[in-house]
Amino acid sequence: MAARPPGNKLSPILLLLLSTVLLGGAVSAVHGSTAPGPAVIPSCAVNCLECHDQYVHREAFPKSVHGSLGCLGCHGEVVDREKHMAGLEKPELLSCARCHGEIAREYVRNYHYLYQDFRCYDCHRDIHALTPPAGSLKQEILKKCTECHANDEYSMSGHGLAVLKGNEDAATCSDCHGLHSTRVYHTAQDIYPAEAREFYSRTCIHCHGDREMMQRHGLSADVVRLYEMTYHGKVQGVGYPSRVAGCADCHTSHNILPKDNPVSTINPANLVTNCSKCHEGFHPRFVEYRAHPDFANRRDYPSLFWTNVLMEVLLALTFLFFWVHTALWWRKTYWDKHDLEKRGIVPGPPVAGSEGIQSIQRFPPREIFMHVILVLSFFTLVLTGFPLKYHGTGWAKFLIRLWGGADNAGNWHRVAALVLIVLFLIILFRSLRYLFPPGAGTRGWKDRLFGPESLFPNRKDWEDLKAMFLWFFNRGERPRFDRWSYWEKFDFLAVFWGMTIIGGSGIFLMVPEWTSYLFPGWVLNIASLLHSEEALLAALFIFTVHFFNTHLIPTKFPMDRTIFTGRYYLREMAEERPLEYERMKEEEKMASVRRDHPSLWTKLLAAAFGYAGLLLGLFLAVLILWTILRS
Amino acid sequence: MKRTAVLFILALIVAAFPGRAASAEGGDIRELSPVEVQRKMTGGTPPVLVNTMSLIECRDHRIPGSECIPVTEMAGGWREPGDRDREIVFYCESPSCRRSRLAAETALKQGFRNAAVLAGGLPAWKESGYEVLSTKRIHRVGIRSVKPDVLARWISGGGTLLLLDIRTPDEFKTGRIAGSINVPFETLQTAWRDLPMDRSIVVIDDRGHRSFLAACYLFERGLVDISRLFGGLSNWKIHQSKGTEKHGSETARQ
Repeated sequence: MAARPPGNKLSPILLLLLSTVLLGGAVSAVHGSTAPGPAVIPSCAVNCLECHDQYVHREAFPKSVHGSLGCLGCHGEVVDREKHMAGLEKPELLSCARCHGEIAREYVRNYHYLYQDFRCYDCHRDIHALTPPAGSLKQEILKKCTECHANDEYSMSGHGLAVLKGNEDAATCSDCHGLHSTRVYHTAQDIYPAEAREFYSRTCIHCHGDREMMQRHGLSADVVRLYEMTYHGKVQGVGYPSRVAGCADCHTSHNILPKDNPVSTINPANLVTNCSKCHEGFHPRFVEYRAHPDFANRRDYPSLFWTNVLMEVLLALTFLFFWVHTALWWRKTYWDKHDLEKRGIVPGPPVAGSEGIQSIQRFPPREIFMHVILVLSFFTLVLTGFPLKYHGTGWAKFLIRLWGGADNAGNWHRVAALVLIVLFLIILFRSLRYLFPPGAGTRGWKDRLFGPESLFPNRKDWEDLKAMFLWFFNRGERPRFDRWSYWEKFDFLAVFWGMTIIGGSGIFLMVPEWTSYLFPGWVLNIASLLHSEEALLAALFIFTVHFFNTHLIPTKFPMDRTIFTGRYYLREMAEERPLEYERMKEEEKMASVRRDHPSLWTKLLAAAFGYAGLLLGLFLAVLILWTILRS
Repeated sequence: MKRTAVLFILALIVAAFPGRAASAEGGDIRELSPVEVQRKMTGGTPPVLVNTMSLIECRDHRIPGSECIPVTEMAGGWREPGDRDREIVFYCESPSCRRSRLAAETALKQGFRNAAVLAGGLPAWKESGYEVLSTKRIHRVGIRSVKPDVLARWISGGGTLLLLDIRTPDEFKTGRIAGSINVPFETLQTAWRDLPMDRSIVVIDDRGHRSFLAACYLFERGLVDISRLFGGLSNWKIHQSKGTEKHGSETARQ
């Protein structure tokens, strides 16, 4: 007898019984049975109850949820009673899916069907006497599942006890595992694929992210949101839950108990054991890490609260100042350019100056190389790190897939970070060597530090800044710069600040277990926050302010290739850095920086690399800003 | 000349990377999807479809048109089709089941040239929405599934526990729970009569997929004090390896 799930076909004996009984039930109604019998089925040619006259068929079925369907609601018609009684004609059992189509569609992927060939009647054994549960449906489900899955842990857990006490919000078996859609995850064998982890975490989030439900039971409505702000939550959120702690990893799947319960996995006494499931080689204070801390809660998380405030203020002030600076600068140059064009004054072609020099070197090859490495490592960090920061977005998931998963992205992130750290150390070494050159000792270090070749700010920068703002408003002349302007110095020094914050916190987060030997676990929460916010500051600053100052200002638009070719026109130097130009002339150093015009291939390569970086950076800036504005 | 040289090199490259069909005799068994099997079964020359599970399981439910030939019986001479070129498709109860592959390898060794397995086994067939057939269905009842830690406690408590391992003798040799006895599922239809009625039986299989049906079968025959190990011996081993059990039982090796 062939069967199609879930409206299977019963054994012939059962079929015979059922069909006759159900038809009999119908006929009994016609004959004036006291029971609220099923509808009369005119096509029913056989009085089923003549043979199938048990109590369940005669009395219980008419009162059941299927009673109104009558015999032919589920069974095919018996045409020849004699043959039927002789066992030669077996009425067809109609598929339950005819009415329960949605359940049938779910059930075709149900573990119990696929692996144990459970049919509808294997759980709904009392199908002819089936009535709506008198009490709690959740309790009925619990009773049914525990006929086989006598899970003592669950029954004693917070959820299980609550269900048994009648709490209709508490999770019964089907709330997590599905009722007719119980999936095949093989969790019994620790074959715990990403899909299963994601499924079960989503199940937890479904209720614990429900603010109204949580408030109804005096539970925090923010645990999910706060978890998603941690490293565990971010990696899970971007679609790779298999490598990080999901809900059940810390709270277990069935033995979920409140923190103050001594046997709870999250009881402080059990945290070392709990964290050891994934982490090893850590100091016991590692467990002081907070799995879902609230940055806005000053009372419970004061250090995090004030770190967050500090970073918010830092970001706000930095962007407030530089975006205003940028906007005013753009306005001034654009207006001036327009004014010149209106009057028909077009800047002439770059020509050799009186010295007979056309191109000069601004950056030696070593600095070009370092900047290229900086660009590559920075973009790698942004492209691997920001998908975690904004893990809920489609673009984040797309980028992580491009990297080949969160693991790969994480590895690239660490490699790029190490490259950047090495680069930073080289710059630090070269800065110190500039200040204290071999043979000179400490003599004259102050002059070098505040001298015209230095990237360290001095009094003139402050004067230049004020003069620049006056110039923005047509209240003065453009300041006369030397080799480095104040915004270029800021770019340079920001690397020191950024590397200290991002690099330091990044190293802590790269080896959290080792970090616990220096600091308690909650320092990792602070490191995580600093790393994330400082990265946002750095990326947005580079992609907006730095890009504008260097490339997008109308006098340079669309791109200044100087950093990639190392060379620019002497006239540009004279116009943009008049003090350097005059100093070089006075010191008769101009010949030493004279260079040929860059080759065609150098220019093409510089343009390709520069435009690629510029466009990618601007695109990322739009994505980041768009994501921030939407959140 | 040049063209000949290029063709020769290409031929060498192709020869170095044989396709799946070419390497079938080397143990790479051809797989057919449920859709392909269904299409073949309704076509002009349907393949011989073989359920490699025990007779109890096969009669309980199988793909319509398939024969019940437990893999353990294949080596001893089965009612094989005479035509060695006739396509034979083997399947078993789970995607990771080894029986169908083992049966196909045996058939290839016996000279059949067209052996294949159903990819994903019976679950994949069902998930594709195709029918299954029951000729002697076992009545499902509530069988308590016992987790390894609970079983470990039961074992350490002594009593009348009977650990019934239904895996094959070869599997039983590779590792078992100390004190368990081996009654392969393939022999259960006769061997159940020798089981004591007065003991608590715990059925143990490989991964937890088969013990439920075996337990239901025994329940039908009146052995009512019966449970099964959740996740089978694989789960037991995982539990053991985690070192979370402090009881006296152990997984023995022969």
